Parts: sequence; C-alpha cells; structure tokens
Amino acid sequence: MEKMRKIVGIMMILALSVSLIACGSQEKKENGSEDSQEVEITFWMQKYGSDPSVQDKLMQELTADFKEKTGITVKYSIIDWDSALTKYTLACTGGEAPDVADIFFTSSLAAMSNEGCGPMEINDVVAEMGGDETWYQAGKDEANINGDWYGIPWRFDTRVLLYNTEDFEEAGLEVPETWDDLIKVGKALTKVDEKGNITHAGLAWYAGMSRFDQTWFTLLAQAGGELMNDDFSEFIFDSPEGEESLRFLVDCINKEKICASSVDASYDAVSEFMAGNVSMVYGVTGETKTSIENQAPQLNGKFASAVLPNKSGEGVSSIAFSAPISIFKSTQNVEASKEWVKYFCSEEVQLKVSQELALLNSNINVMEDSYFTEDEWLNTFVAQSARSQSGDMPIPEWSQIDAWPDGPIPAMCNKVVAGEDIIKSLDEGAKGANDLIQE
Amino acid sequence: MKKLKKTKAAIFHYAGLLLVSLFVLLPYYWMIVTSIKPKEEVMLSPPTLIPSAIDLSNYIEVWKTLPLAKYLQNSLFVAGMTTIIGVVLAVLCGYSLSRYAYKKLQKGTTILMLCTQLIPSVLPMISLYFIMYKLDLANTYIGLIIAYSVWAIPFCTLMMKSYFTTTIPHELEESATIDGCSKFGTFLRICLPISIPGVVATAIFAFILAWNDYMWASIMLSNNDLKPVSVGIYDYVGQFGGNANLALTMTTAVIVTIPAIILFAFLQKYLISGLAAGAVKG
Amino acid sequence: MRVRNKLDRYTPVIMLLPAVIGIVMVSVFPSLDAVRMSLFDIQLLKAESPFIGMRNYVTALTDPEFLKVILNTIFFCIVSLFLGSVLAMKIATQLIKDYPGKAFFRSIFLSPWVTPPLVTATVWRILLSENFGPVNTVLLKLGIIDQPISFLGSSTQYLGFLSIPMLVIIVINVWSIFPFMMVMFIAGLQTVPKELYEAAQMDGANKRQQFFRITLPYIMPVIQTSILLEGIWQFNNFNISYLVAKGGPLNLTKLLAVEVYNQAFANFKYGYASGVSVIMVLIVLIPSIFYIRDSLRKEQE
Repeated sequence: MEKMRKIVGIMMILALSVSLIACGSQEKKENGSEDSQEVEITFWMQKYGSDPSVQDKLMQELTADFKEKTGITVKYSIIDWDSALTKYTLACTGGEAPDVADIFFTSSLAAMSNEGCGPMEINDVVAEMGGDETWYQAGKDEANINGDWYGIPWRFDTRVLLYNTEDFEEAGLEVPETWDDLIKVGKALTKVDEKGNITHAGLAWYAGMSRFDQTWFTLLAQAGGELMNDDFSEFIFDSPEGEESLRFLVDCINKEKICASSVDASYDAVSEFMAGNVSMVYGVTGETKTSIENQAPQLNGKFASAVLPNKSGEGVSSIAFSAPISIFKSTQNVEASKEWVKYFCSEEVQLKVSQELALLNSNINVMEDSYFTEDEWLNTFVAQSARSQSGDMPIPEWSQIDAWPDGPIPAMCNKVVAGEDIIKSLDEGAKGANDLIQE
Repeated sequence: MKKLKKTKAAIFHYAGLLLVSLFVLLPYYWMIVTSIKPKEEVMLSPPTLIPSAIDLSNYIEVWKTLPLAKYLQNSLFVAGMTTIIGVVLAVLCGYSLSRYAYKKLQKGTTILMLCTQLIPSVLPMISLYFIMYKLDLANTYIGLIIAYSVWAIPFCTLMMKSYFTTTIPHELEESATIDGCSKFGTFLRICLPISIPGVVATAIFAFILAWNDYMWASIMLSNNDLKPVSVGIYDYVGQFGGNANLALTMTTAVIVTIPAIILFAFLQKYLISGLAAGAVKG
Repeated sequence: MRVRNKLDRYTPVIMLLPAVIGIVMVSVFPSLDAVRMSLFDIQLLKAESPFIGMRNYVTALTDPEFLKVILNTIFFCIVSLFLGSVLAMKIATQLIKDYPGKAFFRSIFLSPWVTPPLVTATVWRILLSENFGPVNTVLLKLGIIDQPISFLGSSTQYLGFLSIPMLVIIVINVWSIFPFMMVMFIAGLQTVPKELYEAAQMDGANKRQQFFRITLPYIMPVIQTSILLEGIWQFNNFNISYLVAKGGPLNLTKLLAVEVYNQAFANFKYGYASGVSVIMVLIVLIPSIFYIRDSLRKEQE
C-alpha cells in the first residue's frame, strides 16, 4: 500500500512538474510576442525535402532576414501533407486560418470558402512583381480563377525519367525517346527467373502507396491526349488517347513484363530503385536525387535523369504542377502579408528556397539561373518544363475527382492496374468525373 | 511420472509463450535492426535479417532532423494532464455513481456513460473542432486535453464505480459518518486511500488513450511546437505518401516506443490488480 | 454549519457534475449536431445546404460498394475479436501459473497496447513489404513460397469481399488489441477461487474439463464485458485500416470509419459523412443494448 502510494505520488509530481515547465515555456513565447508592439503574421507551408531540419533552418533564416528588413515577425508552421487539405478546408470554412499559406487546389478552396475566408485576390501584387508572364503556364493556370490572380506561383513540379547509368552502360543502351524505345530498353534490362517472375525490372512507374493517377496523366500527355476540353467544362479523357495510355500503363506490367509496379501499398518505386531492383523509374520529382544520396549512398554517381519519352519522340512528354502562395481573406494584416508574399516569392529568395528544398520553380527567371541550367540533374527538369502540360485542372471539383484513393480518376487507374477491363474502367472514370462537375 | 508430466507442462508453457513472443516482438526487432544498420544496408532487397555491423549514427542524427525532444515533451505533457484531469473527474463521478446508485440522477448518468462508449470518434470531430475554434482553443494544448479527458471518462468512471462498489464495505463509511465526517471527507480520507490500485489502472488507461491519439491531434494542431509524438513521426512522410527516410523513421519509432514499454513493465502489476477489482468484478 | 450541511447534502451531485458536463459538451452536443447534419445535403463546394431528410441514408444503403464496406467492417470486427480473445485467453491461462518469468512475459505482451498506431502501421507495412520485408524473406528462405507474397497488394477477392489484405490487417489488429483483453482475462482468472479447482481435481476432472466447466462459467461476465467493449471499439476502428493501406487496395480493406473520413475530408460531403457515422452507431446499438441491459441488471444485484 505504502509503496503504491509513493509511486503514484511521485508520478503525479512528475506529471505536474512537466506540465508546469511546458506551460512556462509556452507562456514565455506568448508574452514575448505580446510585449513588443510589432506586427506578426502566420505562414503555413507543407513539408518539403527529405530532411525536416533543413526546411526548418531555412525558414528561420528567411524569417529572421525578413524581420530585419521590414520589422514584421513571421511565425511559420510546417504542415504534414496528410492533414494539409483538411487544415485548409477548415481554414476556409471558418476554422483557424493563417495569414499567408502555401496552398493547392486553389479553385476548390476558393469555391468552398465562407464569406470573408479563403484565398484573396492579389492582382496588385502580381503587377508589382512583373506581371503575367513571369511564371510558367501551369503556374498561371493554378493561381488564376476567372482571370484574377489568387496567389503567386512558387514551387514547380515536373516529372522526368530516373535511370541507373551503370545498368545502361553494361547493356550498351541509350536513353529511350519513344514508347517503342522504352519497351525495347525495358526488355533488355529486365531479368526473369525460370518461372517467369521478374527478378529485376527494367521499369517502375513512380508510385508510392499504389497511386497511379499522376503516372497516367503523364502517359496521357505523351499519347497526345487531354484530360479536359479547352474551357474546362467537360472531361474528355475517354478518348482513343485515354485508352491507349491506360493500355500502355498496364501492358508494361502484364504484357511486355518490363514493369514491376502493383497496387501493393508497401511498394515504393524509388525504394526499389535504391535497392537495385529496378533500372528506370518513370516520372520522378526533383528532390529524388537528394533522397537517393541520403538513403542509398552506394548509388552515388550511378544514376541520372532524362527527359521522358513519349509516343512520337517529340512534343509534350510530361505533366507539370504548380502551387501558389496565397493570402487569406481572414487576415488582420493585409499589408504585412503582402510584404511577406513579395519577399518570399522574390527571385532571390525563391532561388534559395529551390536550392535548399530541392524544388523547381514556377518563376521563369529563376529557372534560367545557372544553378538549374548548369546542373546535370536539374537541367533535365528545365528542358522537361518546356515539354509539359498541366497536371491539375483548375476547377473546384478537382480535389474530389483526383482524391486519393477514392476519386474517380485514381480509382480508375487502380482498377486497371489490378486487371479490370480498360474500356469499362475508362468509361466509368470519365462518367464519375463528369458527374461530379454536373452536380 | 508426475515429474515427466510437470516437465511436459513446463515445456508446453514456455514454448507457447515464446511462439507468441515472436509474433509480438517481430515489429520491435525490425525497428531496432533497421535503425542500427549501416546506411548502405538499409535499402537492400531482399533485406538482411541481421545487421552486418552496428551503426548508431542514426540515433544522433534523428535529434537533429526532428525536434523529437519537443514532441516527446508535448506528448508527455498532454498525456499527463489528460491523466490527471480524467482520473480526478472519473474518480469523483465513479464514487458518486457507486454510493448513490439508487438515485435517479446517478442511474441516468450511468446510462449516459454506457451510451457514450458507442459513439465512433469520427462522428463528433468536425462539430467539436468548430466548437473549439470558436472558443479560441484550436491549436492549443487545452483543446487536446479537454477532448482526451472526456473521451477517457466513460470507461474510467465505470471502472472506478465497480471498484468502489466491490472493494469498499459500507461499514467503513458508516463509522466515519458517525464520527462526524462530511461526505466528501469520508471519500477523501477513507475510501480513496484504499482505492489506489483502481486509480492507477484508470490512470494508465487514460494516459495511453492520450499518448496514442493521432487524428484529433492532427486536426487540431497546426503549430509544430505543440505536436505530439504520435503525429511527429509523419514528418518523414513526403508529399505522395512515400517514406522519405526509412532508417530515421525506424529510429524515431524505437525512441518513441521502447521507453514506454519499459515503463509499463513496471506498472503492469498495478494495472492488473486494479482491473481485477474494478472492471472484472463489476 | 448550515452551509456545510447543504454542501454536504449536495456532495454526490457536485462530484458527478464535472464529468457529466464534460461529456455533454464534448461528446453529446457534437454528436447531435452530426445527426442534424446528416439530414441536410452539406457539401462544402456547394453554396446551399438544403434539407433532404433521409436521402443521405438511402443513398448509402442502396450503394453496393457501401454495403461491401459494412460487410468488411463486420467481418473485421468479428474475426479480430475471435482471434484476439482466443489468443488472449490462451496466454492469460498460462500467465497466471506460477512459472518464473511471469512478469517478464506479461510486460512483453503489453507492448502493442502502448505503441502509437502510426508506428504500428508503418512498421507492419515494412514487415510485409514484398521486397523489403523480412516476412517474405524468411518464407522464401525456408522454401515455403516461390515468390514474395504481396500481402497488401493482392487484389483477388474471395466470396465477394474477402482478400489477403483484409486478412493481413486483421492480423495486425489482433497484434494490437490482444494485450487489453489479456490483461482483463488475467485479472478475471485471478479471482477464481483455488478451492474450486482442488475440489474438481479430487473428483477426477482433467485440466480441460476444469477449464470449460469451472473457469469459463466463472469468468463469463469478464469475457462478456471485454468482448462487447472491444467489439464496439473494433467496429469503430479507423487507425489500422487508414494508416496501413488507406482502405486499399481497391477499397478491399476499407472500414466504415475510413469511409466517414474520406467522405468528410476528401470529398467534403459533411452531410453524407455524418449520415454514415449515424448508421455506424445504429448498427453497433443492436449488440450493445444487451451490454447496457446486462450492466444495468448487475446494478440491481
């Protein structure tokens, strides 16, 4: 009895003291910012890069520098991707909202916003920063709603081919430029055992947690197809190109047997590449290089990037995504927020951000910097940017249609990879997407 | 003959336990092994089952890449406060329900507690979030603690209620009342001290509930400073769900779980005796 | 004196109140609000939220995919419960015997309970990975299989809804929940008076008969309570299904709680999501009525 009492007593004292310490440190922070009469704004951004501490250090530097220049304090929060959409949804519908944020699905957020919430129009800031033509088309598409700018495009994402240079040299192969080439190269690199199982795959679609929609968008673009019509009122991917691209996605796995992707949630293409199980990954992002360097140093110097092949060998062969930095209408400090946006999205800062976080940039001038053009890995992305089309559609329902895993498009891709009939799935997918717009 | 039978029984006992231990310990083994493998060996396929060498650099690196100490502190604080508040309220309420079970208010409350168990946590989340937000509690420790405490209360109250009912004889209280003790005094000075095992069991339950929660914490918090460990592990997951760094993720997992397991190794005795009198007999 | 008397008289109520107020504000009100939302067509992307009565419920219950999710959830719940309680009982009966190492084993077996669900899901997902997981590696080395099993990707369906991924998440779930039941069972087994066993042994009963005729009936209340409680918790389980494979592949491991989450946070259909969660409560209400009635009956005794 006595012993137990003592233990419980000690535990309670410990708990209380921890709580007092934590309370104390939190209060200090609040007091600190209340004492000074400065302006303070909040900034939310998602996590980028494979080392969380790099992003944190970068933001500390930038906010300190900004404070020196303008006297405005910026409190930043790094949000993880899994809850980002939920947080922004709550922010737009009356919940806690930041002053400035790194958002996505811009038109969805704007459409669902309550009065006085959600991203605000900032045509004036755009004018100050050089006008319309400063950014790539994908950036413009994503940040514009009905001709008005609702954010400044910053990060840019286009997909390229990752390949193992050693494997290619050994087999005496050249980087493929057309789909036919891809299949030939894939077959030459794939090793199969006596039972017909792939022991080393030539190719893997870039998909983690069995997410194939973005790979398919790439293939659709490469086949010359489009997701929607010109005025974004209808989905038109149930077309010959749609069928061809879906078929190509599946054939590489089942018929040509050069690809080892599956709907298994634990299958991660880049991990397989790092383990040496795969020679090519189709559609990787810019930060893949740092990721490989951090986790698989044995591959250093043995991998490279190349522009993705497409059906004909010329023209569009990839997709591009862009995301804007937006100011929320609910902000109490419009001027300060605008200052931060102008600072963060300035060419200088964007170049630094891109370098630290291994990101590409929506600002054309930034991408022309020698950092990008003279780096072998990054150079590919610059070249690919010129051959990309938009991967996100600027309609409010897009977040639902591309919702993973249940939206009509990801579901369609998964069904097809799992073996269901292509035409049937394609039709169901298009119908599902169009139904959502009509509702 | 008897000795043979006894040995057979012993072998059967230990063999069975070892088999189950394999099943239970497999994840922890893999966590530890992955975290101490040299860097080149982590992403091998098929993986090596035993590391070829021991490399502890991940344990140093992980503190630099994640504010892990802050996350642990946050988790400890939130879980600790939840335990204190939840247990206090549950003990008070449980005592009332046990001693005055014949009264209408107490009967109604018991039914309320029983029914609350049925509600899936997803149901009230959105509405609760907005309530918290309007009260300026979004993104605060308090918002988390209030929700966790309340979620722990039904089970804890019912457990304490059974505990009080089965372990405290009425005579004890009667003699105290005769001596002029107030109702609350009787509770505090007579009943509570002998109920410690039940309280400990309840406290453990509340602590684990708060420590393990993922969804409510990720909805409520946008500030990194307040993040608990149950959400912090997600720092390594990238934009498309892919794992950004397997070795560091496993290292974090080890740091987060192993101390908790060791702590509970000490507490399990009280947990069982508390439950024995409380949830079991009642 | 007067004040103290009044305070004393109301002590039981005062002790009761904080807990009740907390529950009403944090659980009851939001739940009622969710019920209210389920009767409207609330979609964030739409400007209006008209009253539609039971239409959300009708849509859900006439959707074959949704019915499959209900089936998944019930199957998941029952099988997890069965395997978990059998495992827990087997271990509990061993762990009350006086063998050395009792405390050691009890501590080990408690571990899954204190492991955060995100850690559980991430580690198990790696364990079962086709090319990176030791499970496949060992099975291959032992020659039991020729090629790695895709534990989380095999999309063949048996009987219309069963699949390997579903069985896999049940195994992971059993790993996670049996500690709690084990602890309840150990506590219960310790209350069985030894004299009963001694008497039975003198009458010539063997171990098996002792277990089924003495032990089981004696601790039946504990078993019932644990199973009902765990049953409700497992029916509402969100973490395992969502964190391991997000309900995939192809929704084969999707549970009702994940459906609510997807509808609310990915499709922004708050009305429909609330409707699904109300359906969950209604389904779970049926067996729970017995639990509540039993508990109230015990009150009387």
